Amino acid sequence: MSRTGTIVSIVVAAVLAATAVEAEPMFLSRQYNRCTSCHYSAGGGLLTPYGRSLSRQELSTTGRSPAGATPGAPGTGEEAFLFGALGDKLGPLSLGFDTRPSHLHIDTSPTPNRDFFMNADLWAAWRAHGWTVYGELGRQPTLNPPSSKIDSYEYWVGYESEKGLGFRVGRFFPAFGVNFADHTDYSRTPLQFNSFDQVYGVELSRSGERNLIQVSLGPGHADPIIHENTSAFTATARFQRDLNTRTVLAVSGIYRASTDLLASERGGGLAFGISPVSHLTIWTEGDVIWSQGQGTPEYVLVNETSLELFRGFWLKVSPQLLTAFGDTSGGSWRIAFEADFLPRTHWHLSATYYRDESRSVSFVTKTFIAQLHLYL
Amino acid sequence: MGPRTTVASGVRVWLVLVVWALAAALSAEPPGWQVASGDVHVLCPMTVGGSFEARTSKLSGTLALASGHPVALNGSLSVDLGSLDTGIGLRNEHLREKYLEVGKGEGFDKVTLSEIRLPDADGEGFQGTTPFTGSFRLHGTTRPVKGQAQIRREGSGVRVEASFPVLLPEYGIEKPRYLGVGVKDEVQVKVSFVAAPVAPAGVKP
Repeated sequence: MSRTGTIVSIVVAAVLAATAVEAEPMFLSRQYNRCTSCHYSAGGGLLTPYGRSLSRQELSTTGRSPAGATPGAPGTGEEAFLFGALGDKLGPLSLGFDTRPSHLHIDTSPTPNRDFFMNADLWAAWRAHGWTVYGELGRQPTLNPPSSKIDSYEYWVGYESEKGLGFRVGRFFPAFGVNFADHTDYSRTPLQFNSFDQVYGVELSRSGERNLIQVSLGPGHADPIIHENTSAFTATARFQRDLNTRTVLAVSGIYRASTDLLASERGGGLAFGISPVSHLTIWTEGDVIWSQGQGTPEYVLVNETSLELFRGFWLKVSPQLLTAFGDTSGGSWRIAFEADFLPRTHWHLSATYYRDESRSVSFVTKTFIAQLHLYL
Repeated sequence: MGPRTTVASGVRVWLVLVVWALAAALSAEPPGWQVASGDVHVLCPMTVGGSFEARTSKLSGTLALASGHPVALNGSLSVDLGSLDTGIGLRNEHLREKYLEVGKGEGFDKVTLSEIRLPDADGEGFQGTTPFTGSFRLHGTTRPVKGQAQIRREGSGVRVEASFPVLLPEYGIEKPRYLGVGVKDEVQVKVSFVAAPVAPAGVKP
């Protein structure tokens, strides 16, 4: 396949691939510097009752209950599962449904326009006495042949003490850098932590007032272990320091052993997030990945700047750089622009434009994707 | 010169002496300072990790030197709790109405720090870092507090930066909890203000 063909394939695959509901690092501007303030899983996914309440009261343009109104019990407000139709019958069990009907246009693709469901996932979490049982079941698109299947890409059991010491065991994304809401961003693919690249492992964590430490160890990517009976020991570590309530620094590292097909890899990353003024968040992440036998490492640089123009309406711009192993002049430039509108609880409309330019050949791909993201 | 002229002259001399003595006495009275501008940041650690800040610039008050060796201050500093802002509406509402109960009025709508003592400070011209103690009134309850203060001269005024911990249960404040997320019992108060010199007459002990 030619280089241009490869680029188009990568873009199509990245955008078509379903994704978990990622956390929104832009909420650093609201002084939320931990994903687990609103999500059960570090990095995103199903919202906790608190996260659901916030999505209504603070994120949606028109969802907020009148001033002075007493918030209802979990499960009873419009922010709850199925708009609160089940009331408080679920107890400590939380359910969520997430789907994204999407329209995709890629100007260089032989079939430039596609309408598809990016994902359709059912989430469940049970939390009591510090313990959490968490799982997802949903539709996963397959590219060869183009089809879909029902599968689960995240499930784990975890515990966190009142002092912030915790662990989880199961299938999940190991902590590394920042999990941007745009799952196609350049920092995910080179790490092999793209849409369905969850690992089997155990994660140990310590969450304090200003520090967060996460260390994971495991036999490697879950899908190859299940379907191909191959594994590659994978270890990651991430240290986050909250410099203040609106400024965060995260240092990450990864080691992945070799397999019959892939060389061993190790990498490191530095991420810095700051909200200098209300409604503005700037995240920047730089990663470097060494692969055995490849010589020069691969570099990734991603910036995401988010500005809330008015309540529930965000603009984002994200310049990105990805080099190639053994060729620091290779790789791609990307600039992404996105508008996100959350008119009412559960409704999220987004429009994203990507311009990808090869650094080694004269080739530009322009991609546009519009999504209705429903999280029920 | 007759006797009446002599008496009048004597009275004038006495008046001058009395005025001079009063002026001297006034100038010897300890100086006072009024808060010209300031900020209060309350760092609230969350039960799920991380923390957020509540901020206000509605800080006021007047202080006067009651004793210089070590420094003791009359007067008080006061913060309007209804102006505390955490950056999001729901959190503000819970903080002000449910936990601080500012709607209950006097004793709840403001927090005051009085009876300030700086045991390591010596004299009104002190600059540097010193521990301090004070009497802290919050949520209708008065308790002693202690912390650290840094004092610098800034022109004719004084810049003060102080911090101290506050244990919420000691003030009868319900544990802040909402849908599984809460604030830990101990919060850190950071106060920064510039005080300008004023006549001490209005400063109440």
